[in-house]
Amino acid sequence: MPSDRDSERDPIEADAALVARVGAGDSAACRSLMDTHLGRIHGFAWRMLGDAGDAEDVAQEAFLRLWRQAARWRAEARVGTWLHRVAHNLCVDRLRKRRGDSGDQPPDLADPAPGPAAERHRAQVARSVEAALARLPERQRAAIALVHYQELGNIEAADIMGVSVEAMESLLSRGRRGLRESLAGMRDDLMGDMQ
Amino acid sequence: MTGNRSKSMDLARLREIFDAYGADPRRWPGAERAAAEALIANSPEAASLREDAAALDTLMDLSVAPAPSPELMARILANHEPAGWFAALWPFGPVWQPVSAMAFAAVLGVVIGAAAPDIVIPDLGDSAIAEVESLAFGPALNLDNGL
Repeated sequence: MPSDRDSERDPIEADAALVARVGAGDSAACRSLMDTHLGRIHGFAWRMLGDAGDAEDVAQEAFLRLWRQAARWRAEARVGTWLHRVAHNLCVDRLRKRRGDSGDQPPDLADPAPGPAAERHRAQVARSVEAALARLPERQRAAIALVHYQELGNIEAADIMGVSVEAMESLLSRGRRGLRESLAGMRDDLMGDMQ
Repeated sequence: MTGNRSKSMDLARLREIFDAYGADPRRWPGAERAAAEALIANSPEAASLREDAAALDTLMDLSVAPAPSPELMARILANHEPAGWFAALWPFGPVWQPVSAMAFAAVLGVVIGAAAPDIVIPDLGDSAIAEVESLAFGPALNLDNGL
């Protein structure tokens, strides 16, 4: 029966074998990695940056770094963890640059598409959630994006952000409290709508 | 979801878990999940706290990230160059960079070699060499004079 340590190593070794194929020029391995991770990395970057174009730039750069790293990849982490870490760092760099350029204004979010009233209302609430997320401090937003939306474990999320598990839990608590306060007005309204 | 630490589970700790991770057990620290679920099953107050956390989860889940464009995958694939033996030696970036640098160095070497004047070493003769040695090391001893 394999030990816990073995069961943790197997996915890392499997990822390493796939990345080795990328390093050897195997396009099918590239596609396989993109099928698994591209949507998630793009989604994470979008949560962090609030802009689909910027999110695509970050996702592209993260994968290009993986291609460049592939030939000397070492089986030390899951590819998904590595990609999230790179994307997180790229997002933090962009957010710092934005702060320098424009004082950290939250991005403009697209207006909800027209449609039936209930659908339009849900879309408006979704935009409000995104606006509330965008107003959170960067580290709280990253913590919520990684644990709630990316559904990563607290240890993996803490590793990606370079903080302790306790600090991650504190960021999550403060972030969710901020969201709760921002969305207090619409919570009862929406919950009534959905029942 | 995982988590290493194992704290004693009570209502206060459960509230912390809801505050940080929400109502879905999949997001809770793995080491505390079973104890948390047991407490919820036996405590109406815990169940009520969970409902409150679930309401915020529901709001958050209304936000769905857009899918990346099909062009993005094509762009990323286009930037993957099949790796040859040289790429294995140079995994730091595009292969054209070191190849260009080496080609430039080779051309520069040929140009400098072709443009440099011929170096002619003059024939100094034995007397000139003896004079230079004398200046450098002093006059030579002449053992034939019986000194």
